[in-house]
Amino acid sequence: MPAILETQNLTTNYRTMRGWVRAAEGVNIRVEKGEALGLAGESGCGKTTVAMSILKILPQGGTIRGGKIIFDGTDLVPLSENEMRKIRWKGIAIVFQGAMNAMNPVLKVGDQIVEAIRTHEPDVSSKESWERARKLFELVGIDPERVDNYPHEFSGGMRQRALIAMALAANPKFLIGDEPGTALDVIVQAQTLKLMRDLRERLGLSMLVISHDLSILAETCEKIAIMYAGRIVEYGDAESVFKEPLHPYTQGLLKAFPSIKGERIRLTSIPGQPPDLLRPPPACRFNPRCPYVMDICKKVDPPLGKSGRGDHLVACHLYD
Amino acid sequence: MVELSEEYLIRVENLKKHFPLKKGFFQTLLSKDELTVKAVDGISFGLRKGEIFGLAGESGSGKTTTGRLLVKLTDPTEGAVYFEGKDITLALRPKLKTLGKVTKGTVCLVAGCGREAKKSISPTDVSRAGIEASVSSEKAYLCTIHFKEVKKKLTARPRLKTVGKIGHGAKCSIVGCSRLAKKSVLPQDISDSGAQTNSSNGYLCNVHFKEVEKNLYGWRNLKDLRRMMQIVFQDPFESLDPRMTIKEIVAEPVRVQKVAKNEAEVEARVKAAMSDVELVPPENFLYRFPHELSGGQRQRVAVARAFVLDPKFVVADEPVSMLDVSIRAEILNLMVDLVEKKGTSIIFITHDLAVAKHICDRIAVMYLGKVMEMSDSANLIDAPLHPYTQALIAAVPSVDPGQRRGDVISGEIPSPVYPPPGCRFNTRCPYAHTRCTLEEPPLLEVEKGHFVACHLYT
Repeated sequence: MPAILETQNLTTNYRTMRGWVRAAEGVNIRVEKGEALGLAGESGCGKTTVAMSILKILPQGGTIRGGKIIFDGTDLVPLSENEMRKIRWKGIAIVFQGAMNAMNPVLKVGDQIVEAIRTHEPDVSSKESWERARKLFELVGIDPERVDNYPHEFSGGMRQRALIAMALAANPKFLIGDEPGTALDVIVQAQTLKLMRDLRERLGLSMLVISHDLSILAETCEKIAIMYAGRIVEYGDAESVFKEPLHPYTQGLLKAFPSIKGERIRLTSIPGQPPDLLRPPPACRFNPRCPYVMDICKKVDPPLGKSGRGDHLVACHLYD
Repeated sequence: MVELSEEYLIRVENLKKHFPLKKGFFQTLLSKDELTVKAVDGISFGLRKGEIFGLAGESGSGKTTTGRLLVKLTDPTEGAVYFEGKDITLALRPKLKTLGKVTKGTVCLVAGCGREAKKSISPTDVSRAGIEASVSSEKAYLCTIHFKEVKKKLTARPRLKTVGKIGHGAKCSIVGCSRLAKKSVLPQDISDSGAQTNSSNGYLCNVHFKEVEKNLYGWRNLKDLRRMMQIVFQDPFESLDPRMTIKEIVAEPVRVQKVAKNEAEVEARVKAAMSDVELVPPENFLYRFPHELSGGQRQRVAVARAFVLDPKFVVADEPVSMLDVSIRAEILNLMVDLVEKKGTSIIFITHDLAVAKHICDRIAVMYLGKVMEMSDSANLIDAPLHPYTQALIAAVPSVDPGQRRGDVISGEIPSPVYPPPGCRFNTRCPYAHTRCTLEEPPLLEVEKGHFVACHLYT
């Protein structure tokens, strides 16, 4: 299968007064057509930076310092702002995190969708784009008449649906979901994720889903990449990553997840704090928190390599 | 329903909180009805000593409002909160003010209190004050209650004492206590005090407050109450003052309550509290600002602040929902340890039943301001009875890709301004039948310690 999106050694850093913050270093991800990749990790591990690098919408100070982002055969890194504008929304669209705050409160929801359509497809008439906004609302399961409402008239779940509708406004090939459903209640979250699965099937979308909540990824993605301190530490099929996690960090993350089944137990956590990305620990970045730490972990950086289980990759000296 | 037992540290009875809605101009013209958001609408439960009690439900179920009512950050519209068997709702009741001569149809004025409090006065309160009789009689007089500032040293709620008799239209005065204590006087207290308004002459007594009843928490004692009850808020990024150092944040309750004799003692308490939450060594954190800490560390500071006074009761309002999954377990374990160490009782507000199962001893599931089901945690999760609890459990995510969440219930929580008639869950319930839309199911004990409000079990 050809990859629709691939990053090769993507390195994105933020310039600060105290030096470069190494938010993403040597990130290789690959999403095949029609596939969904889940990118998981704690806050501050660089997962949102990867998403923003792909769209080249990094905040001030953020720079792609190396690597390639290949979308549909073209490298996005050298493209100009004008050329990028053609890729955004029509090629790659993003559903931002924080369903409650991602919309402009003084514009009607319909206006905001129409704006997206007409910016990216200037030859579509106003009437047509309103018609499309209504169709999009129907697609995500909101009453089409509500395009005339303001965001505050929507509930949290409806806003999340409207945001998805907005992302789909210009028929993108690729959808990035940044923490979809994390600020929502379990029931609304389940409804949202089901909608995303349905849409993917119906529209043949490829997706990159970013979340710190592994359960959200378990539900939406076939492939999982686990990120820690700016690096991918484990990569593989959802099935094998969740059933047989290899990296000690992934194992810790999964154990920290309370299960509703089984006995009442004391929850386990990963001790320690995520590292300071201004001065990340030498060699393997997980070594200060790792329960299996060895001497080599502090000297040699483990590459993301084959673990001997098919496509399941891991960056850990335990599997050398 | 909830037995009147001393074993409960805190107990609420038929607690209600209705927030008034502002009406637009046309709505004011068209309808006279006051619209209210029925955030909490008649709940009763008790919290045992050293227990972690979970309040679970979707947003809009009223769980946060309940938590705020318990620590008296907001006043209930109706109902009572008992702390260690003592009613702590009273201090916020209004007083009745000068009414003058009243004949049939005269409007009574309730003054000297907030709008909320005024609305909590019902006609029965007035009649209990011995006023109704007057209103219905030809020669109708009402008593006047004056609040004169006399002595400040009596702070708790006063007792009424009969002094002489008063004639028609005479004024009653409440003296001998602070203004705040006076506010806690209820109309029925006046009739209870032996002001025999139903005596042949229809006289009201002159009311003096000289003795102090200490078993009631008055307004002024709210501060004392706060020493015993604390709250941990949801968002550690907003609940800590960005311009205060960690030391000042944790020391603030100690200073406000004046429980430390000197600065050294304040610091010792702060350090002890910080060690309890594993912010070690405390010296490294004392003079830092909240923005220098990670989310998990900030929430630890919030927990330290709540526990620094060794409270008997803490409300934890979704303390981990803003944190990463990997840090959640640490904060939760910390709270469980503190409960074991200090015997504190905790109300744990959450929308995540998986977390609630592992942390809580008992759980109450709320929906639109009502308790739907209440039981010990293992029982509630493993054998849920109410369709809503079942739906919530079905919606709990799993990290096993082979176990995707099945079909969850559709729709969203209805508006608390117009809750559905009958059972509030009937609009989304897969088992709803006619009876559910007509009759509200009571919360009944169907097994030992397992309460459920559903017609399927009646």
